[in-house]
Amino acid sequence: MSDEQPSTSSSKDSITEKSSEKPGDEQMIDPFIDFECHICKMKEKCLFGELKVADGSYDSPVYFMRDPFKPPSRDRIKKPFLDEFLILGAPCSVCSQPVCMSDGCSLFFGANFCAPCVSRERRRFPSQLIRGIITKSEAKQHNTV
Amino acid sequence: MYSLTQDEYEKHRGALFRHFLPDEPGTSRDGNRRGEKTAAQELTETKRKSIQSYFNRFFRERKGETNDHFDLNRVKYDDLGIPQDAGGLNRIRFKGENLGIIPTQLNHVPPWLYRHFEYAYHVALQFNQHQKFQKLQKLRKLQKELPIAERATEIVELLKTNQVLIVAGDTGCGKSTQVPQYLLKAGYTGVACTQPRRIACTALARRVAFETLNQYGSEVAFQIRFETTKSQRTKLLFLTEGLLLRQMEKDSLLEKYNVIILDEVHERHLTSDLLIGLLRDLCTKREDLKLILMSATINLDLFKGYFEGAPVVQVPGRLFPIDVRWHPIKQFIDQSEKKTHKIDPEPYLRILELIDKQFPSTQRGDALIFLNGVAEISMVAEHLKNYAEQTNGWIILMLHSTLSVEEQDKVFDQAPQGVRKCILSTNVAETSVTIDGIRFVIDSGKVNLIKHEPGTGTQKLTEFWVSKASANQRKGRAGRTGPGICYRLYSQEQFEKMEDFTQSEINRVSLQEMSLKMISLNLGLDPRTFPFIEKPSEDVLNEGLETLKFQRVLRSDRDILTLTALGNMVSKLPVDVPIAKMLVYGCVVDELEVMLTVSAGLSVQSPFTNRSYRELEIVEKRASLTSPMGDPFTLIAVFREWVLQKAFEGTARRWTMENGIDEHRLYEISKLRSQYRQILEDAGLVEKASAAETGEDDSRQRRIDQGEKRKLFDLKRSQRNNDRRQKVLNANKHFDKILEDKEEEDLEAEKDPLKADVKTVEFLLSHKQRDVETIRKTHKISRRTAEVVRVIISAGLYPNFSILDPVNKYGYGQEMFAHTRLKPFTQIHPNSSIAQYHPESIDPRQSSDGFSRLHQIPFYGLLLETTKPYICNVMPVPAIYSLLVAQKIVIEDWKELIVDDFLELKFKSTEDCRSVILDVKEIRYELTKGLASKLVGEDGFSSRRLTKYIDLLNQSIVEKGIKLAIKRNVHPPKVLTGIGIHSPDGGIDKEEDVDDLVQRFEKNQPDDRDDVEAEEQKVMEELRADIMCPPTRDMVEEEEKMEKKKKEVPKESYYEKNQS
Repeated sequence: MSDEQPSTSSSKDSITEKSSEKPGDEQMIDPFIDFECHICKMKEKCLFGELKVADGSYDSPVYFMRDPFKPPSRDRIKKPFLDEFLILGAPCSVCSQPVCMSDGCSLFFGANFCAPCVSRERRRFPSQLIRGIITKSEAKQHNTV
Repeated sequence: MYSLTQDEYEKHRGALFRHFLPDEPGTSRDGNRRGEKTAAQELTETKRKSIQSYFNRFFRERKGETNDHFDLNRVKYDDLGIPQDAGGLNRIRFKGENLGIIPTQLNHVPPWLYRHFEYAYHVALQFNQHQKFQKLQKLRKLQKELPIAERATEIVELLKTNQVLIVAGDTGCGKSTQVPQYLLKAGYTGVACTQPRRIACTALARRVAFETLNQYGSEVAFQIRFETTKSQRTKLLFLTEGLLLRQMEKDSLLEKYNVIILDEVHERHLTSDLLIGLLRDLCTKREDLKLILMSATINLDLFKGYFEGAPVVQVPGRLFPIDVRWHPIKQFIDQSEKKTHKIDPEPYLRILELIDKQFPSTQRGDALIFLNGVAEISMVAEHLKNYAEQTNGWIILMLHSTLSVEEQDKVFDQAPQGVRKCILSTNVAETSVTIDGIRFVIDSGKVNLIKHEPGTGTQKLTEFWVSKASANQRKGRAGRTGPGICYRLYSQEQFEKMEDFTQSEINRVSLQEMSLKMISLNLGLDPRTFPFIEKPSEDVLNEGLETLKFQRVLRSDRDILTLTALGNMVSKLPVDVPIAKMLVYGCVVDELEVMLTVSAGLSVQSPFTNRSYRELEIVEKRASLTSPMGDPFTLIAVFREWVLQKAFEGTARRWTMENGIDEHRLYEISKLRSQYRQILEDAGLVEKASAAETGEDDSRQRRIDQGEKRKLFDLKRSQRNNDRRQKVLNANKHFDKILEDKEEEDLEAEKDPLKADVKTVEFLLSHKQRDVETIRKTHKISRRTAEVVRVIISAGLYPNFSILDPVNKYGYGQEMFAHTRLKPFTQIHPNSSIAQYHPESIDPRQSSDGFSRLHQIPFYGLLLETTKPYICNVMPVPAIYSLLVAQKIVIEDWKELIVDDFLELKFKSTEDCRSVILDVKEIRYELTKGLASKLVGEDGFSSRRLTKYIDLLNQSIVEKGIKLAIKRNVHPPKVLTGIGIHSPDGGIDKEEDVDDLVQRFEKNQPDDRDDVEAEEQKVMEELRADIMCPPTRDMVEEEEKMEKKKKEVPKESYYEKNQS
C-alpha cells in the first residue's frame, strides 16, 4: 500500500536507523535528505548511507534512491538487489564533499574522488585514466568563469 | 601477462553465465503469452549481452591478452587510497560479497578466467547503474532548459507576497508541467491544478509524477469523472474544471486546497470563465489561498484587466523553426454551391506524396492532419489508407473524442523504423493531446464548433474557419521535437481574414445549465449581474432562464431568481436538468433501476459504435435489441443483455463486438448508474441499501469481496505500470485494424476466468448476484411498467417534444421530419432506433380527416444541427401524453385542446375528451403529490394509484381506441404565459404547485393527508356536480362500492339486530 516507501525499509542492514517510517505514524521521520553535487549542482532528495543489498555492497556510504523508473518490487520479504536502486553519488574520499556519479564530476579509482581533487592530485593517477575528467572539469571552469 | 583463448572462454562461459546471471525461477526465457518479457528478464538479458560484448571486444581488440590480474588482494594503495596499479577492478564501485572467491561448483574454471568474468559482470552492473543515472541527468537537463525554468524562484517568491499570480507562456514553455512542481518543491501540499480536458489531467499527472520521480506513488494524482489516483499522500491534484466547480457546491471555500492553479484559461471555456469569477471572489474570503492563472500570451490583457495588480510572469514559448507552406485548395474558394459538399481527400494525399518525395524514409518524423469533423477524418483516412497500403511507408491513425480510449491511445505508440505515422485529428490535438515526434502538420484550416442558436433551442455543429490563434497553435505542433513544416491548405489572404481568437464559449453556447449551477451555489449569485470576465449576451442568458422555468426548476412567479423545490433537488444532482428530473421522478414511481440506466445512457455516447452503422451484418444482427418505443428502451434492452452476458455467460466481449457495441460505454453506464444511485442516496431520495441487501453481513461474502478487491488492486497497479511502456505499431495495421490484436487477445482471455481484466473484475465486484438479478428482472419491462417509464422520461425531457409532419410518410429510408416548438422541420436522426428499425411505429395511418388512434409525438434528448437539424435520443409517445407534462393546456370546447400554445388535439367526441382530461388531471395530481412527498422526505406516498391511472389512460388509447387529430401551431409564442389548465368557461385550474404542497407538507405534516383527501373529495364532488361530465372511473367504482354497501345493508342490519 505504500508505493513510495523505499524498499530498503524491509532490509535490516541497510538504513535501519532511518527506515522507521511507517504510514500512519504520528511522527514520520523523514529519511530523505537533500543531495547536491558540489560541482554540477545537481539536486535531488534521496537517502544516504551504506547500501548493502543481496548481490553486494558499496564500500562507503552513498547517496541513493529507489529506482524511480521501475515499479517497486512487490516482494517485500526478499532482500532487494542493486537493480532496485539508483545511485546518485557519494562523498569525495579526499574532501568529503558530495559529488554525483557523472563522468565530469567524479572518478572512482579505488575510492571516490571529485574532479577538483583529481585535478589537484593529478600526478598520482594514471594519466590515461584522468584525461577525460580533467578536460571536462577544465571546460566547465572555463564556462563558468 | 595473462591470456585467454576463445576456446577456453567458450568452454566455460555457459557455467559462468549460469552462475552470475541465473534465470529467474519460474519464468521461461520466451516471456509470456504476448511474447513480452518481464522487466527482470529483460534486465538479465541486457547484462548477458553486455558481458558477451565485453569478451568479444577483448578478443578482437586485445587479442585475448591483458596485464590485469583482476585480484584486489594484490593491489597496493597510497595515502589517499589511490591504487598503485591500473587494474580494472579498481574502477568498480559496487562489489559482490564474495568477490574473488570461487565457488566450489566452479572449481574447474581457471581462477583468472573466473575473476575476469566476475569483473565483466561488475562492469555490466555498473553500466546499468550509469545508464539510470544518465536518464535522470537527462531529465533534469531537459527541465532546466525549459524557458520557464529561469523564472522558477521568481514565481515562488512572487507567490509569497501576492495572492494572485498570472503566468503567461506559449506552447513549449513548460508551464503546465513545471509550475506545479515548483510549488511542491516550495513546500505547498494542497495544490489543485485544473484542466479543461480529462485527457490532459491524466497525461499531466503522469508526466509530473515521472519528473518528480514519483511515478509509482500517489503524491501527484489526477481526478476525473470516474477515476482518481488520489490518496492521502496526494499533494498535487490535476482535476477537470467541472469537478472543481462541483467541489465548490459542497465546500464553497475549497478548504482542502491552499493553491489553485487554473490552467489554459485563455481557452475561455464556460466553466473556466465561471471559476475565474468565483475564485476572484473567493480570494477575498480566504486570504491564505493562492491563485495562479496560467494562459497563453494571446489575450493576456483580458486577464490582467480582470485581476488588477496581480503580477504577471511572461515566458516565451519554445519551438523549433517551422516552415509554413501555403497550398490553397480549390474546394475552399468556391464553397458557396451547396451545403452538402464533401471533403476532397486528394490534396491531403498529395502532401503525403510530397513528403515522401522530399524526405528520405530514414529521417524520422510523423505527420498530423487537422480536419474539422469525424466524417471528414473517416473519408480522408480511407483514401490515405489505400496509398499507405501501396507504399508501406505510412500508418494511418485517427484521433477524435468518439473513439474508445484504447483507440485513442494508439496515436502515442511509435511507428517502426522507416515508417511514419499519419494522425488525422480534430482540434483535440491542437491543445489537449500532445503527440511527440510530429514533424509535418497539414492544416485544413477548418474546425467544427457547436454553437447554440438563440431562439431555436438548437445546438448547431457548424464548420468554421479557425482563428489565427488556433492556426498558429496547429502550426506549433510541428516544432516540438525538431524543426518542422506546416502545410496550410488555404491561402495567406485567407489567413489574414481569419479572426484573431476563437470565440469564447460563453458567447457560443446555451447558458441554462451554467445559470442553474450559479444559482444553486447559494452564494446569492445572479448570472445577469455576475461580474464575468466577459459579459454574456443578455438575450441568451434570458433564454436560458426561460428554459429553466419551462423545466420547472426555476420559479416563474418571482423576480429574484429562486429555485423551485424540484429545482433545488435537481441542482444537487450533478447532471443535466432532464436527467436529474428523470432520476427524481424515477424515485417517485419506484422505477429507479430502469431510470438509472436510461439517464446514464443519456449522459454518455450511444453504445453503438459509429463504425457499426455502416456494417450491414451488424445492423441486422442487433435488430432484435432495438425497441419500437425508442432509443431509451433500446438502451435498456442492450444494457440488460450485456449484464447477463457479463455475469452468466462470460462472453460479453464477443457479444459486444458482434453487435457493434463499444463495451467501454457500457462500463461507463454501469459506473454512472452506481454514481447516480449514490447521488440519490446522498440527497435522501432513496434509502441506502442495508447490509443484508448488499450481502455485507455475510462473512463468507465479505471474504470473497476482500479477495476480489485485492485482486482488483493488484491488477490495476500492474496495468498502470504496464501502460508506461511505449509500444511499437504494426506497420500493416491502420486505424481500422489497430485493435485486432487486442480483440483477439481479449477473446482468448475471456475463455479463462482467471485472466479477467480490470474492468471485468471491477464490474463483477460491484454487481453481486443480487444486483444482476435485479437488473435482469427490472429491465425486462412489462407493458404496464413501460407506460409509467415513458411518462417519466417525457416529464424529464419536457419541453423537448416534437410534432410529426402530416404529409411525411414514415417508412424505411425516408427522411423523417418532426417539428419542435422553436425549430420546424428537424429530422429524426437516422441512427436512432426509430429511424433505423421501426419507422412504421410512428406512422399514424390517419384517415383523410386526420383522425387516428395512433398519433404519436416524439420526445427527444438533443436537437443537434450538423448537415441537417436532427433530433437525437428519440422516444415517441402517444400524443395524449403531452397533456401529462405540459405547462399550459387550453380546453377550447370539450373537443379541442391546445397544449403549450403549440400542439392542438382534436377529439371526436366530448366524452372522449372529458374522460381523457379527467385521467390526465388525476395523473398530474398524483405525480405532483408524489414529487412533493419525495422532496420533503415523506414516505406516505404510494405510486400504486399513479400507475393505475397511467394504465387506465393507456387503455383508453389502446383498447377504447380514442381517435384524435393533431395540428401544429406554426408560430408558437417563445415565452409561455398563463400557465395552468384553462377550462372553456374561462376558469384556470392552476393545479396544486409542487412548492405549495412541499410547504404544506413541511408546515403541518400531521394534518396534510386529511387535507389532501378532503381536497380529493372536493374535486370528485365538483366533477359529479358537472352534468356534462361523464362518470369517472373513481365515481363508477365508488358507486359500485356504494351499491355493494347497499346490498350489504341487510346483512349489517341483521347483525345489528342480532346485537341489539
